[in-house]
Amino acid sequence: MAEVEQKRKRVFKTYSYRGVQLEQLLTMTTEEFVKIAPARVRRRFANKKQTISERVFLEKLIKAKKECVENEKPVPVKTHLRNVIVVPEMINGVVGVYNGKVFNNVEIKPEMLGHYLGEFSITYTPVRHGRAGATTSRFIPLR
Amino acid sequence: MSSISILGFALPATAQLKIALSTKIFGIGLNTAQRICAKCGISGSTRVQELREPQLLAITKYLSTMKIDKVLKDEINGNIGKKIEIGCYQGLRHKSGFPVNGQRTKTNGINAKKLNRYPRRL
Repeated sequence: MAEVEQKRKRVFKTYSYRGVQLEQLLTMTTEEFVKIAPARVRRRFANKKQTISERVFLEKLIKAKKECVENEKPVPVKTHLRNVIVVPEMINGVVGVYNGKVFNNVEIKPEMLGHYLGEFSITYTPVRHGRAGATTSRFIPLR
Repeated sequence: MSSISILGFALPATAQLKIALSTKIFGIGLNTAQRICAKCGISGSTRVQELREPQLLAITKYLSTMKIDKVLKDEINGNIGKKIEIGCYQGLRHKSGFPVNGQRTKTNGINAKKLNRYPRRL
């Protein structure tokens, strides 16, 4: 068992995004990240300038990361911006992503780089068939 | 029916080489099989039993550099598993056996029901 755990840890430590190691990723700026990102991300950053609300959100997130106590998760930063792409500066932050009704807390992992925030906060309740009394629109959180 | 083993894959002895490769090995279709034959300098319509020793070795050598069968399956499952682990929308769709790329689910989606489960049966 101990061997298996060790192996798992090692795999996590050697995580790399498109050939770049995790330690380097963490110190990367957005501009550097965009250069190694896939075409969808590159086009987004080339065509659309950062809006004020996006900048404010990013600043808040970085501030929350700085101020958090060690071994504890940072304070969630709530946002309606579902179309923001995850960049290296957000890693280890916690974001409350709005799904139209509630804010779902998402812990940003290195694996999420290049995804949109909206992908981690589902906007509908998955259909469940054949359950008695399931007709009420009671919201059931996924996890 | 007798068969000849290449890298642990049992190729039927009387089949044409390109057919044998494409039907018996996961990750090789007819197109790839023909390319392998060309690279090794063998006609694709040669019967497997007629292959000579150096030809068999050449094919084995070429196949061992390719991403086939177990390695390929592991990679596919790993990619899906990564999406499920980070909890993104595509991962949820994979997990619940629905179409992943925004297709309709009122009708159709039969292939997704068959395939989209984790670990994926390949």
